[in-house]
Amino acid sequence: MINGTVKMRVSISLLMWMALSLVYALPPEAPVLRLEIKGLQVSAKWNYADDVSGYRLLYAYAPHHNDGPLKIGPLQSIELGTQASFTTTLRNGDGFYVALQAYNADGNSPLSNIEHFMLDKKIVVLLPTTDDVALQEGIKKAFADKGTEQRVRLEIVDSWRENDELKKMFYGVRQTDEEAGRRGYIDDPNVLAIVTRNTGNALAVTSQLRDDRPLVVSCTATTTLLKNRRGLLLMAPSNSVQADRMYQHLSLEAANDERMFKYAVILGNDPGIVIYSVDLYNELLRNIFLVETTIQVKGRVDNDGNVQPFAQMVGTFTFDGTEAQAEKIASVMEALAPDAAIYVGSSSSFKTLYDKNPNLKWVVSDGSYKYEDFKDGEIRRLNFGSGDSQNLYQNLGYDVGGFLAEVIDTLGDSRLERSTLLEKAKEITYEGKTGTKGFAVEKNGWYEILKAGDEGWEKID
Amino acid sequence: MVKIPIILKMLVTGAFIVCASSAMAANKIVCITPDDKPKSQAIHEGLLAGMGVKYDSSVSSYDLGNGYVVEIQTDSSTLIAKTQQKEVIAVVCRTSSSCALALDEAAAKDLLVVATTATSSSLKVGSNLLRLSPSNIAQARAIYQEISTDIGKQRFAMVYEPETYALDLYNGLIAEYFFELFLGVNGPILAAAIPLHEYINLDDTQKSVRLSHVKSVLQQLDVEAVAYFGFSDGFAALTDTRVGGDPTVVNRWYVGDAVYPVEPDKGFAGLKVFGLYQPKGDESVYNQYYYAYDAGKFLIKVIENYGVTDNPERAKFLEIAKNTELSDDEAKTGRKTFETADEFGIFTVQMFDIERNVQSKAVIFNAAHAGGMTPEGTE
Repeated sequence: MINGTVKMRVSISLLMWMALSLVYALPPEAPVLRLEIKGLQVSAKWNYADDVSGYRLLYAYAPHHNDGPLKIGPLQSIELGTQASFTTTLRNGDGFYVALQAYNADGNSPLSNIEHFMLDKKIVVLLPTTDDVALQEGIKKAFADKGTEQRVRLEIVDSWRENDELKKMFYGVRQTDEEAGRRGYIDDPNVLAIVTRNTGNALAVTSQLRDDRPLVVSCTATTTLLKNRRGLLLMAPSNSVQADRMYQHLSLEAANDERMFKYAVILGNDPGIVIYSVDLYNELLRNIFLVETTIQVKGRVDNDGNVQPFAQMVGTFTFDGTEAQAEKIASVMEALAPDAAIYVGSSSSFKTLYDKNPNLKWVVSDGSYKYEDFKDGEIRRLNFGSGDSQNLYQNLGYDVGGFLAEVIDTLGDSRLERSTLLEKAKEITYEGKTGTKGFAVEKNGWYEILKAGDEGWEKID
Repeated sequence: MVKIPIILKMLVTGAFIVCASSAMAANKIVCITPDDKPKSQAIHEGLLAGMGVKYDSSVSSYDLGNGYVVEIQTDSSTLIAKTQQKEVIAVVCRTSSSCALALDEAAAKDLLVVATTATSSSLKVGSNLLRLSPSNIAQARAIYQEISTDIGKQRFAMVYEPETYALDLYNGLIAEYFFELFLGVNGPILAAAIPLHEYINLDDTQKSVRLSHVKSVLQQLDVEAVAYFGFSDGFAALTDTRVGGDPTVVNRWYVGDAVYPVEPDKGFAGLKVFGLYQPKGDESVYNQYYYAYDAGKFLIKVIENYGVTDNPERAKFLEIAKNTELSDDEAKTGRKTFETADEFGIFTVQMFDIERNVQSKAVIFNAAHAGGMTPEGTE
């Protein structure tokens, strides 16, 4: 970061100043300078000596630059009189070389130790794929709308060539003779928050963090076991919300059918999606078992001895995304003849399953489903509702940025620190475009139900 | 009423007894079972044996001396009312459904409730409830680990009866399956979960076993093993050739504790039946006896610590119970404290070979360390 040439230039300037100061006899001893940084507030403190008639702070501006070499401004000074400390609030991105000099009637002291600092409060946004562009845009827009970038900048990490590079970002690089060292995100107190995409990212990041941890925000993770993960805020509604909605819809179908309504569950277990789908299935079971055990206890026969209509699960079958498995499921479905089937899994695998079972009434979990592929089928799909589903990810990103901006706005300049930001984030409830967001919010979003209409997906509930 | 000089025992063990006055109000320990059938009688017998008292099936009240009385009730519906009676200092219950009444809003919560062989995982929410047997969560974990050891990455299915006990085990197994996926373990693959009955059973007459459906699905999905969660009749319908069952539809069967023990003539090669731990010894053929024995032993220990009083303080008795431990040496079914029910899940697994010979092994599944099952040895 700071190469030898730059340091030499600063040292020469300071030595010249010192040489000019040495014309008097018995000057004070060199003070010892100590810097304390809290948020954007910087305090310089030193050991006060009785034989000193004043102090002077020498500084050179060296602001933060994302790219290119460090640029050093001219050497300047401030007269501090006899005070024993000096505190000021700076702008994010400011950086300085500073030293202190004491003086009395007999002359100037040698320079204190030379210190360097750089204020670079930032939110690291780890959204590397092309699919993440809309999320990135949303976050940037919220920060721009609320003027937050003046105080905390966004560091968008949109690519890394290999895992080693990502590791370096997180763990940092040790300084060598050839290369300057670099603090990783984990240990860099300037990193106030880390924004990630899905369950895997959120787990990977949160599992590495230590005691003084940044806030972690996950844009799309829904796995319920993340709900109690320390310092992790989920922006999308958890699988329990989706499962409740699915079951509610099915129960309604059963009630409208006015007879015993049988349904099967198909659980997608292809790699990459299986944690999501089993978690969603687990939440679905919670609903199913609650109702089934209640019915067992209370019965469901009316006074005339008739069995009241009820949605009954007739089996769960796993689907690995292959055509062979889809065919097996088709033959099982033929034998069981359910009135409907719930699919929880990857939307990209569903087409294979659907093609072998086109006549079933399907209720499918949230995902991207091409209208053309399913326009002739009886499909009910869950959709994470934003009121504007075309711009869901942009809006979700905007909510991430909006939430962070609101937290940052409530913190004074001296409180822009990891611990205070995390503490404040836990208190705030934010009304976003895609629902209410916050640590204490039980349902931070909702699902709508769409069906394939004549010209596209239509919202039915 | 049979009067037992337990006071002597307490003196020997060092408990300080002031007096045993006939004017003293009784501190009642009520043992509630749903019926008077052999498994319930095993509970009565075991409880009293653990207290050093001989059971007599014609007697329903036992004076332990020193102001303590044991009362036997064979109607679970009385449980809530009993908790509201101030002289009742502790309740002992047997099944998940009867012990669950202790969690009811109307039940008093300031007294000790000891669940002997109830396994429902929902009982863990009761802060005044001491569970002596491992819950269905621990059992499901033990069964899943056994399947995992036996079949590696092959496919398995669950067949279950759609009712509370079986759904609880089902949920436990799915939780375990999910946890292993989450950890990145490549274990057995769940292929299907199928209910045994057409509808949720209202009563036995309305059950309709979907045997042909279940068999057909298992064959089509080509699974190596089945985990069965349900009861003996349902299991027989599935596997007993004399009533139309077919055990050969898969190679391996793993069965929950409600079916334990399976009689030798109903067993078959590839069958493993999980039961609550059945210690060696001929005191009883029912494992309920041994858990109740530990309940009796535990209660005596609490009484020793509580001492004599003519003014029962249930809350204090409960507090003492929470700090009481029955060691491995003292208990017949493993160490007991308020925290141990799922710390160690101890089970006896009944295994059959091709000649229908029965072997058993005791397994201890240490949930706290998630280290899998450790065979304790083969009997």
